[in-house]
Amino acid sequence: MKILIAEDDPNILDGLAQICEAEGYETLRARNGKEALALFQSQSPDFVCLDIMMPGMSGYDVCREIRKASRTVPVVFISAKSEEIDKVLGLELGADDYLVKPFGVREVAARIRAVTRRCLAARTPESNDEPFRMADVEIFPAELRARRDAADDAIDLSLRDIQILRILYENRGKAVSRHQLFQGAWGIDHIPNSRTLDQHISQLRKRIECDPKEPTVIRTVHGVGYRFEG
Amino acid sequence: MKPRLVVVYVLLIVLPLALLAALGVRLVHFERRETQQRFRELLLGRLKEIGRGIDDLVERRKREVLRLTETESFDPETLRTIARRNPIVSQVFLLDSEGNLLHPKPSSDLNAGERAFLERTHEIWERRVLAAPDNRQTQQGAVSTQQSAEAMQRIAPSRTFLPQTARGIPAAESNVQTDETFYLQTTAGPEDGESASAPSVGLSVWYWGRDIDLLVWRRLPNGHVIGAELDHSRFLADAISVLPDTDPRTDALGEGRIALVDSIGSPIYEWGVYDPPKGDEPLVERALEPPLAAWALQWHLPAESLAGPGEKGLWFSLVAGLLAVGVAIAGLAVYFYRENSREMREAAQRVSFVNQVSHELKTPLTNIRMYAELLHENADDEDETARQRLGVIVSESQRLSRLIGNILSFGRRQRNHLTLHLTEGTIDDTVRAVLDGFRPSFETRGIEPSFHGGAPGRVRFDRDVLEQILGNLFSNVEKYAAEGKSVRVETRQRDAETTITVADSGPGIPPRERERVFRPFHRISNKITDGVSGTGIGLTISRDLARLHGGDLTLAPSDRGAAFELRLATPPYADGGTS
Repeated sequence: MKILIAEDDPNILDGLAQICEAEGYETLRARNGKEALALFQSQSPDFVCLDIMMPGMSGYDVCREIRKASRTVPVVFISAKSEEIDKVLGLELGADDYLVKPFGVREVAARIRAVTRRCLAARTPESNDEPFRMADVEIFPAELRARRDAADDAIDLSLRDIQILRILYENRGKAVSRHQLFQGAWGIDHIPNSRTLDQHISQLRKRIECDPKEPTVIRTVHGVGYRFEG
Repeated sequence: MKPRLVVVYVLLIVLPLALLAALGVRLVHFERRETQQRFRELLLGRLKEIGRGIDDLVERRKREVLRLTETESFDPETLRTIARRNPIVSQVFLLDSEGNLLHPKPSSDLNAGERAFLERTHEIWERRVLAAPDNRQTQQGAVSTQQSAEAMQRIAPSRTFLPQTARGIPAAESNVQTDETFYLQTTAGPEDGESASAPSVGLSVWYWGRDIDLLVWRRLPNGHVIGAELDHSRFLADAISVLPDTDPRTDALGEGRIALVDSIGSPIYEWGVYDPPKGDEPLVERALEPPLAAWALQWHLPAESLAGPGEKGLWFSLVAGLLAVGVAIAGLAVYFYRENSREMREAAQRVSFVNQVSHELKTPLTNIRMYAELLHENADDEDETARQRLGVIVSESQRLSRLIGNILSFGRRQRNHLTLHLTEGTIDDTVRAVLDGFRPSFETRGIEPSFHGGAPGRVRFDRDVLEQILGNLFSNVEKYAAEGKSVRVETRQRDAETTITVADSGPGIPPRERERVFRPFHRISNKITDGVSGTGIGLTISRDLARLHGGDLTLAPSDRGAAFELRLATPPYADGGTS
């Protein structure tokens, strides 16, 4: 999924892009409203994050133009303006959610996942939306969630988590190399970085494994990569 | 200016002015009544002086007639000569002791004057009014002379007319009679040295219609009565001549008109420049002394004359005073309004400044928090020191975020701008997300959080509000209840209400502080040495937000530690819309 992020502060723009990319989205970055609109028209993103206060063209104006072209693409406003009237105005313009600065990584991720879930639920079901089971964990790709048999609580997952788990599930019993995982989950053009992958697998294990130190879903294959026993 | 404030200020000015105006008007009316009363008394005093001239005239005439009738001879010719030589009398009469008229005798040869006299007075003689007391006792309808100063008696019906409103005649008497009534009013008294029970001289006024006859008489030793009728025209002329020729225009009492009126109120003589309208009631009226008590002096004055210069001055003073008070109150109101506006403006500027600063802090704080969290998430698990240091930055930036959020909410609360924005979602997800955000700092302080979700349903609620309230509650656990080592978070959902309980195992809240902790800026301990930071608005904001969300934030009974119970109205999610 492609996310268009429009933010005039380069640091926040970069940080948001990193969060979204870590979640498994492809990012399009814009420094102002006009650039955002041009990217939206040329790249047709699946998701748009808009800062409100931008030079030249405000986030509200960009949202209005986007809504003229598409009534369904999700739009999330990001702004330091937290007055209720701003929220109401943004939502009346057709935004799906509102993120108020200062926000945390988890909050951004949770909101993006929530909007993605709504998008996935609204679209026509696809074949890879079908739930699949890995050991005692059942994964629901269309809900970006998983559930462990022994636990009541649902586990939040990102698009990237789903992609990693699906690759391991589809190659169950086999060792999946880091390169394969990067290619499948990060994209073909992504420069492999074993540390990035290992960090991600480590975080994922903390959420889906009963004991992350003794994993049963994602096992390490030393020198190769990872494997799901099946 | 707000309409309510305008009303308050108007009332502040109008009410005291209205009160003062009412009191002033009452004072003016009272003063006017007092002034008019004094004025009337003054006019009555003047009328009394004027009337005294007529009273003196009557007394003078009485003495003159008594002197004229001091004669030895009572033959008709002598009596006619007395009448002819004295212009003040029109007829001399003589009665025997039984009241029979001896002169002019009706059966004798009478001249025109005598006949006219009998015509006017025959009923007196027929009724034997002036008979000796012993003889009068037995005569029905006779009138007794009385020592009373205002003795009057009805003596007989007559062809003449005396209205019931006749002056000096008792109303009870008048009411009994029809218009065919006339009266004899007698003032009689003993001569010097005689007994009071046997009056021997008198002056009787014979009212017949609009005219009067004045009869002066003396009782002779043999019981006969000799007397004379005063000439009516001459008496009137004399009466008018004794009236003072005061010109009311030059009088200190101002312009007006004074009238001498007869028994039915018709003017006999009047003077003065003022021409009263028809039906004008006199300002003052004074009856003459008996026997002319049916005559009266009236003083007419224009209505505007009553409002003397004093009253006009009083009105002027009142209006000027009210204006001065009004201006003073209005000035005070303007002063206080300006002071209030200035303070409000300054307060708004302060709030605006705090809000502006808070907003300006948000962008750098976003970067600090976001990158710290990114670093923390990607930190090498083996590098515990780096993770710990990053954890501190993350935790403190989150705390700063909450602080800014509370300050902005408090500013909105002060401006009554707190509003809700409901979206659909799951309470448990939000609680779990907030709790997850606190896990690192809880772990640092050795607090073990536990979550028991019972609100998995999709409902409509304000996620930001819930996050802010939970953030404040968890932050309090972090600050005040770390020694308890645990915090239990439990959610329950029933119909359209969700209850979230946050119970720690810390020292708890003393009973007397259970309500105070929700007050703005209240902290159980403000000692810096306690080492616990805070602004004292977290619980205030949280309770306000909970109430705004159709619920409440309360302290639930707890055996150990503090247990906050948050109730929120959470209508079930029906469609995909937002409000």
